[in-house]
Order: sequence, then C-alpha cells, then structure tokens
Amino acid sequence: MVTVLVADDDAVSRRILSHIISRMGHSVVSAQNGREALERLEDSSPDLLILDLAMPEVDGLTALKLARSDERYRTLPIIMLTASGLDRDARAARAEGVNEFLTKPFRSQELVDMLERLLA
Amino acid sequence: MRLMTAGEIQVDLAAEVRRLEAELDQMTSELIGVQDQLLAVFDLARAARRRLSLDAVLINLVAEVQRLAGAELAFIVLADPRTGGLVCHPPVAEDLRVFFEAVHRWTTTSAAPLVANAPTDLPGDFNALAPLHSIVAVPATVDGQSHAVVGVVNRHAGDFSAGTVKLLEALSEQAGGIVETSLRHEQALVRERLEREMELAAGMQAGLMAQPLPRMPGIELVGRYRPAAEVGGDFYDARVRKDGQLSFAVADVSGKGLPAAMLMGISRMVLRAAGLLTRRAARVLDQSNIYLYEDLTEVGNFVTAFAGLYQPRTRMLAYANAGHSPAIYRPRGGPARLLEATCLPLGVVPDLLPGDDSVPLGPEDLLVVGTDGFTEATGVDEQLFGYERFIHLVDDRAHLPAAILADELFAAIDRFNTGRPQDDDQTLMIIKGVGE
Repeated sequence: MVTVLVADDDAVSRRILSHIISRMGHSVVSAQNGREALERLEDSSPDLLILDLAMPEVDGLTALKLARSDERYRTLPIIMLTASGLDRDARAARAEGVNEFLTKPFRSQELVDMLERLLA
Repeated sequence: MRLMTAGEIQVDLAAEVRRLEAELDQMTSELIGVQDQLLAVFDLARAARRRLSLDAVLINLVAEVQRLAGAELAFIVLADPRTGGLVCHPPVAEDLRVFFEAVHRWTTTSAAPLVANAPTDLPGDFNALAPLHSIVAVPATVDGQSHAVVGVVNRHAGDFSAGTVKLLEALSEQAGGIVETSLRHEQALVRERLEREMELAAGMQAGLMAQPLPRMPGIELVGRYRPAAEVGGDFYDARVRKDGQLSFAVADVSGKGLPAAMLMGISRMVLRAAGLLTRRAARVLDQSNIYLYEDLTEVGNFVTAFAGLYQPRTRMLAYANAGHSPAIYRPRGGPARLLEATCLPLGVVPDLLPGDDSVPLGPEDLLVVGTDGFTEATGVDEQLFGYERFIHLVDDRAHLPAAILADELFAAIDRFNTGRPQDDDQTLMIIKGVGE
C-alpha cells in the first residue's frame, strides 16, 4: 500500500488532504510542522511527501532542504502546498528539488491527478 | 439504576468516537465537494475574463458540471446567436439531441428547473428515453432572458439532490454571464471587422471619385461629391472620347450605404463604357439599361442617371435623363430652366426607349447637374431646398467660375440645413462654357 506523509499546521487542510488521499486507497501519515514531518519521514518511510510551505518551527522550505540533503529522500516525490502561489516561493522550492506545487485552495481532482502522476 | 462498568464506558466511548469520526468524514467529504464547486465557479469566471472562445468555455463547463454532479453526462443547449438555431454541447446522438432541445424549450419557457429522478417524474409532454433514468436541468439567463439550459443526466450513485440543483444554478448563472461576455466579444469583433471593411470601401470610393476630371478647351468642368454615410450611391464621371467629344454622367443609385456603393461601382463602369462607345446620349442610357437591368431588378434597386455628350467643335451638348433630378441649364443672360427626365430610371423596365435633346454650351452657358440629395435637403420645419431656390441661386451666381459656383451651392445647402445631419448623398457636376 502507498503511504503519503502530509505535513500541514492547518487541521482543516490536513483533514481534507487525508480524506482525498484515503479515498484513493492510500495510507496517510500526518505531521503538524516541518520538524515533525522530518521525524515521520524516518519512522514511516512514505512513498510521497506533501509539505505546506508556511509552517511553524520548521517551515516547508527548510524541511524540503533537509529532506533533499539526505541521500534516502533525494528522489522522494514531494509536493509543496502554497497559499499564495507567488513566484519567489516557487523559485526557491524548485531550486531545492520540489516535484510539484499545489496552490490552496485546490480542487480534489487536481490532487488526485498529481498523486497519480507522481506515483506512476 | 446500575452504574456502567469501566469496560462498558470504554466501549461506549469508542462507539461515540467512531460515530463522531464518521460524521467528521461526512462533513469533510461535503466540504471538499463545496470547495470543488466554488473553485469550478471561480475557474469558469476566470475563463470568461480570459475571453476564451465560447466553444472552449462550454466544453470546460460541461466537463466540470458532469464531474461535480457525479453524472454520466452533462449538457448545455443554447440558441446560436448567428443562426438562431439550437446548439447542443457536447454533440450527442440525434434522439438525445431532440430530447435535450425539448428540455431547453421546457425550462426556458417555464423559467424553472427540471428535476426527475425517474422517467415517471418527467412532465407529461416529454417522451422519456430508455437509457435515461434521471435528469436535472436549469435555465441559464443570457441578456436577461432564458436562452440556454445546463443539465446533467443519470447520476452515478443515488438520486440528484437539491444540492445538484443549487450547483447547476450557480454554474448556469456563471455560464449565462460567460455566454453574454463571449457573445459581446464576438459581436464587437464582427462590428470592428465591418467598420474596417467600411473604411476600406469608403477609401476606395473616395479614391475613385478623386480621379481628376478631364480638361477641355471651351468649358470648365467641375464635380463635387459628398456622401451622407461613409460610402454612398451617387457618382459623377467624365471621359474624353476618341472622337474628341466629352462623355459625362451623373447618377444616383437607390438606397444607401454599402449596398448602394457596390451598385455604384458597377453602374459607373457600365455608364462610362456606354458613354465611350455609343454615338448618342439616349443610346448611352439605353445600352447601360440593357447591361444593368437584370442585376438591378434582382436586388430591387434602380439607378437614375443624367448622361451627356459635349461636342467641342459645335459647342453643342446632347443629353438624356433617365429619371434623374432635372438638371439646370442656363443660357448666357438667363433665365435658367430645367432639363427634365426623358425616360424612366435604369433597372425599371427592360426597354428604356429614352429620348434625347441638345442645348448649346457656348461662352457663359451653364449646365448644373445635381442629385436629389441637393434639392431634397431639408431645413427648418422640414422644408425642402427645392428647385425654385436652386434655380434662383444658379441664376444669381451664374457669373462665377464653375469651381467657385460649386462651392457656393454647397455652402448654400449647408446654410439651409442649419447644421442638421445630411440625409442623402449630395453630388454636383457643373459644365460652363468659357471663351469667346
């Protein structure tokens, strides 16, 4: 079974993401910030990581950098959630090796299509 | 009353948590659905702002509606603004198209949604189709009227609900706005193209009329043309023939605007050719009528024309008048008189049988040929300029050189008009005998 790690400090957003991913038949592991996401990476070995850009403690961009610096997660598909879709966020995250961006609010079908593409 | 054991409380709490979790799941699912719907409406509005083509927007719309409503098929039927016929998106089999058009008629007439979760729910005047078991359709308002219908057919699971109706109403509201925007955009493009074509036509006509008139010893020859709209149906033309005679014509095509301008181009060529090739003024008109009669009757127009041949050797001017405004002839010393029509306009009867006549055009003799836009110009109290004023004016200013006289006549018309918009094309040709 595919496991997706969802890291977002917003409970509603986490709930929505988890619900859509579960409907696809995948397993979901949640984290509330970047630090927790890095811990969950270690203990749940997900097949895909969804990181919100703006999170307390360790933000999404830092978590992305740290994950990519680890040999084990260099090719892990990572989706970055952004609220603004600003170019500078996208540029920074792209430079750190993010695979896809998803701007909130998103349509459920967008996420489904993205997951199917990255997990194919 | 027996108290619950710790184990029972645990079981009870677990059941409550499961129930709450299920409720939360249900609420999350509905939240996702609502968010999807809101974003679909937002995307449709954005598509309209980006001015995608109407077809592209409609394809996008039906795809969204189908997905969001969980239906087997979504459709939109609207009246094509160009043809007035109904258009169905996506294209469907003939029997389904006929059914959707009936749905369009029903919803746009009743201005109410059609909801049927079984064929038996359909209003009595519908012939239910076998593969169709449920439908929701709502009218979309375009320019304040119900012109389109957005609908879904056969829900994948369960019945269509009030939520489906609300969703379709929200999307059809957007769709109506999008259709309006797209139609206005398309209409603006068509208008822009027509304006451009009209400008080109006006430029072309002005170019034709700006060709210099021939110079000939013994006469001053002047032509003036002022269309009421961008283009018009009046014209004048003059050419020197190989035998040394001056052939000229002033004509007025019935109607206005582009149709009259198109016929003007044809008539000008025909009258010029006839003027160059025939020996008598009457024959110019007769020959032109033979060439033009069928085309003019086909489109229901006619052409009034004054044709003349001036022989410089004898200083005589032969003329024929096919239903045209009477020309004003003023011999040296006056008084001015009218040269009336000698036959019907071109394009009215197949055999014109025109008569012709001739007048001397020696020094100080004057011929003024105008179109009815001149004599029928209106002033205060809807009064016509008329021939009496025209003749009087010509008599009064006959001493002036032809070019100045033409300017004076136009100025007099403008004063008479008192700034009112010009109703009709105004054309003038003046030939004045000069020398001893």
